Amino acid sequence: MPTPQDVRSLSYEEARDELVRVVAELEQGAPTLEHSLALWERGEALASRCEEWLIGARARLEAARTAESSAAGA
Amino acid sequence: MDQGPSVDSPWPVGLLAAKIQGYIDRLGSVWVEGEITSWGLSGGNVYGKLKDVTGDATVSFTVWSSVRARTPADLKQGDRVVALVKPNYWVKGGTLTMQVIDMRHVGLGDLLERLERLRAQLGREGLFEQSRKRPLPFLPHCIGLITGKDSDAEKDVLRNAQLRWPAVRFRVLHAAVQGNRVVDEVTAAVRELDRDPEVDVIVIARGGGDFQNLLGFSDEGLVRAVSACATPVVSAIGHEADRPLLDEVADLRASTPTDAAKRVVPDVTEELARVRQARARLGTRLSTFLRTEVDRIEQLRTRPVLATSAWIVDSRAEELGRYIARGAELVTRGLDEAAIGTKELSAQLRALSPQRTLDRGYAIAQLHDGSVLRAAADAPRGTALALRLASGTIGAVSDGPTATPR
Repeated sequence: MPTPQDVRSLSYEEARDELVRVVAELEQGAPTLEHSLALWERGEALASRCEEWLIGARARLEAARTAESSAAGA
Repeated sequence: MDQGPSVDSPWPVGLLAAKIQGYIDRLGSVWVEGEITSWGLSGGNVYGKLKDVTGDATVSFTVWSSVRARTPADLKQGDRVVALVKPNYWVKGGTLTMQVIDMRHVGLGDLLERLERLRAQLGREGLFEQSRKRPLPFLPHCIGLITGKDSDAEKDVLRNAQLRWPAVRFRVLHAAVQGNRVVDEVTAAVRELDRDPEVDVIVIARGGGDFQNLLGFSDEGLVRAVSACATPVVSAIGHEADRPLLDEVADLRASTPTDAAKRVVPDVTEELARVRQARARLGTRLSTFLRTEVDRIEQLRTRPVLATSAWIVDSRAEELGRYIARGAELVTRGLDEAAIGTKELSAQLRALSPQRTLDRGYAIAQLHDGSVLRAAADAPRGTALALRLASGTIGAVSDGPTATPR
């Protein structure tokens, strides 16, 4: 399920906050089947977007660390 | 007035001596200030030398025993004095000596008082303004050091600086740190180091000493030279308690030479440690932040509503199932009721229906429109009739009215 374009442009905090709202709404029980499905898809997209941010950040941190340790080693 | 002396008619030496004496006597007696550099006693009289406090001039003086009685007994070599002297040219020996009429110590009080006056004056001029103080470079390329040759101060500064930063570079200029050479030499050294573009901080260091020894470091000329410096100057003169004017005008006052080294050179190993520590903290700070965020997303992800999508359909399917079941139930119940209803109705129907009469042998004659024939007149000859019997119905044609049957 491709991440909709707008989700890609969200910042990490924006994506995370919307995800929290989507989950809450789903848990309250969305009115229509159609709406539930849409919400669920949205939730999935937001969650994977957050993970992209986090994995990216972690990768950069690791990269910086290896650079730093190699610099210290050099 | 005889002709001036010439090679043909020269003056006798006596005349020359007299002339000199005449000139000198015209000066009369004057108060002078100087430092006693030699103090010889002979025959109750004192023969000594008095030297200019900062410059190079020296004169010899004699104190006749009569005068000596009136002067302080503890005068000795090295003292700084003010004296009322009358220059005296001794014709016989051809020597010039200062006839001391009065001589007093330049008391510490006078010196102090004069120093304070100078301090106030320079203060008014704004030489000590905080705004003039230049910041020291964090990591100096080359430190200009003005100190006594092989003095403890020099060792302290060099050793402490190297301890903190082995790669530190010094340019040391040795200068007198005592006596009357101080001002000229230190001032010259300051100017030279200031001119040197390599030197980006100048330290003037001297170990402890009594008030008089440090006086040179309150000299107006030196203070003004330092004030005019473009390079930041650090003053490290004497001990904590000493406060020569140099301290006031310097960009930084260090209490001792060692303190100066510590203030001018950062402890590089410590700085490196601090940088490493900051970097480590940075790393942990970020990774904890990341970990908490990952946990949060994980937590959101495992919420049932997101974990699977099946529930959306299942819950509705289940709901649907319930509805259907319920529907079916309602329908069957409806049907049952209907069945009961119809049974009752058919019973009623049967009760009302002529069937039983028909069973007893009667028949119902109906006209073609279904209406029941009640009157013979309604069925004249040839009228088609339907006769409903107990069972089944037959068609018949009317012969018209007849008498009542037999």
